Amino acid sequence: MFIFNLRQKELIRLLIAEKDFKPIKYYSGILKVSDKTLSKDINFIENYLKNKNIEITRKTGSGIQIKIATHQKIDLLNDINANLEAVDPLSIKNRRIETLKLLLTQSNQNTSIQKLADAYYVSKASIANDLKFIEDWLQSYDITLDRSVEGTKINGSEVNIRKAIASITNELLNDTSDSLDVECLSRLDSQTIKGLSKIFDLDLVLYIEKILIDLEKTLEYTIGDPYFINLLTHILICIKRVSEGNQIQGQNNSSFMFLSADDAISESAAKLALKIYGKCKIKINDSEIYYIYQYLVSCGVGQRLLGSSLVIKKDLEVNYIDITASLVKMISDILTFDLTKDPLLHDGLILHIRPMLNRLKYNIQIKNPLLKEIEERFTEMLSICQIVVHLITLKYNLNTISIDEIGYLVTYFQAAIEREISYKKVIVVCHSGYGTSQLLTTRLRRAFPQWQIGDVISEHKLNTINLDDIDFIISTVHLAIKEKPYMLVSALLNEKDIKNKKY
Amino acid sequence: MKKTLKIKNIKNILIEDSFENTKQDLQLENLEKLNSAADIYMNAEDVVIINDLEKNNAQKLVFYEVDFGKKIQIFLAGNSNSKRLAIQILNNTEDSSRIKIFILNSDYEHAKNIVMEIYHLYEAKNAMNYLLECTRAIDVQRFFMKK
Repeated sequence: MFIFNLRQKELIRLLIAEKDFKPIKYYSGILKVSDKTLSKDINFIENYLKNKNIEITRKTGSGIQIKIATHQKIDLLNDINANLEAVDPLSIKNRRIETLKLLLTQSNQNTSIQKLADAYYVSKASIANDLKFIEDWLQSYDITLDRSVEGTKINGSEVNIRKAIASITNELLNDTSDSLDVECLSRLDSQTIKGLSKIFDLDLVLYIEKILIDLEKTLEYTIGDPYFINLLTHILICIKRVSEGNQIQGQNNSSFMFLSADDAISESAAKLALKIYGKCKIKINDSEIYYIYQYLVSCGVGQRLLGSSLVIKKDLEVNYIDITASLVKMISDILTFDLTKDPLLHDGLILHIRPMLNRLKYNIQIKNPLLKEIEERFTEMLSICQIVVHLITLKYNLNTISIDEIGYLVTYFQAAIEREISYKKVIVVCHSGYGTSQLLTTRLRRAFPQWQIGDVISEHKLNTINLDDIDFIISTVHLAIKEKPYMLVSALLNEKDIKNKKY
Repeated sequence: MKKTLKIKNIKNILIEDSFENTKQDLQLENLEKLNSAADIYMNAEDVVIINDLEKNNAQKLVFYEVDFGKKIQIFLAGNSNSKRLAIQILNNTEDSSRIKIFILNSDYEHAKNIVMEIYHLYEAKNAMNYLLECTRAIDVQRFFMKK
């Protein structure tokens, strides 16, 4: 089984892009690793490529080169882009997931070590080890493994059992082995559909997906994929559990308050319950409807509806606007890079943090499929966000915010920084007359669309304008200016100028 | 006297605008309190440091750990009754050297300022190299006393 890390994937891309032999040092320099590490990566990749009849050739004094045909390049690139962990059905990990799935989904029934050993053709000692592992894993959901003469079964609250099932379902969504061809029927990718269909009936998955899409249309709001999958999973779990006689009982008084509330989201939750009844003939009680409602408000539904959903007005003690402002201010302070004036960051975060606080309040966990990549690519930003989020939780007395949630916040800040770096306010100094200055400005705009080009002025007017907001000056003449940097270009902005500035 | 600024290309601008240049003059007002030998640990066990830090606290400290890149690890105890900083230099193993900074502080604004300084320190390659090479507490003290 070959699972590549990001560096190995990047190395394959570099090898494919390079036409000549290049020394190992060349690649280790680009990837910022030692030659020894790179050599290990090459050996690993070589073993993988053997099965594909692709070769990495070595030439003394010249280095290495990949020997690959054009059609193989595309296949290889597709392979590494889709390279996720493959599932070995006989692996210990898979056996444990299957056992967990069995214990959780059939929580009312006992099983025995002997039955499990027979089912997986392994010793009872192996199963005992698996159960020890499972017991530890279940602890984080406050679920225990009860062993008695009748057998082994789990013991925990209905809400916690559902959270554990959701976590297991997330594991199954990573399965990249043979895929189901249902993409034409579903908004979701086949991998997700396949993962869900391992626990739930495929027809039901597609039906619930459809009613959620209808809900999006009604509420005029598109739920982001990770939240959509989360919501879908929890409704499916709800149906499965309720149909097996496991209802959530009155959580607290909030559910009664919720039922009397007249807002579009609680109404939507009730309508969903009716549709589920229509399809599955199972009665969804008020607590269950409230549970669905919690998931709806936690995935952002209702953001654009009233501007003041029930949750924000009545339930949420903390102010998401203050939290957003504190978060941006603290991160700006640490980076010494002012992000407080970025409206895109502010507005995006406001929309994100509001449902995030609902998730926190209702203890709803979401998985961030990009987390591993974020950890590898934006290490520093992730660290800064982690510590600032921790400080924010202290300041506002919030529950712990998971690393998956923090990963989402990182993307907002990283995008803001990259926006800020590429976005420059520029003025142009040109002494060659109106026509030339217009031509220069047009060419600059075409070559650097991310620049905001302000005035086009002559040199002598430079001292009369305020340069505070200007990042730098493009000039066709040398300038005696100290306040801001300038770049000298030819009046017609030739290709060399453009190349220099893009470098 | 300030020279006329002239740059050749965008890369230079980005470098000059980047954080790296602004860290040349390190502002370590808070970290400069790490000038007592009692707060500096050289290749000690974490448990030893935590025991020391817990001595003056009425309650057990709960540390939140964050890796700041590969070289710095922050341990923040927001439930501390007192304000204290400690540093640990780990450089006697075959694994790569690293610095651990323990922050005992329930004032989140103050804690943020300390983290800001740690980030500046992390960005200042020469300063980091110096600290990671230190084998005696007195050399670490010297670093934090230099301003």
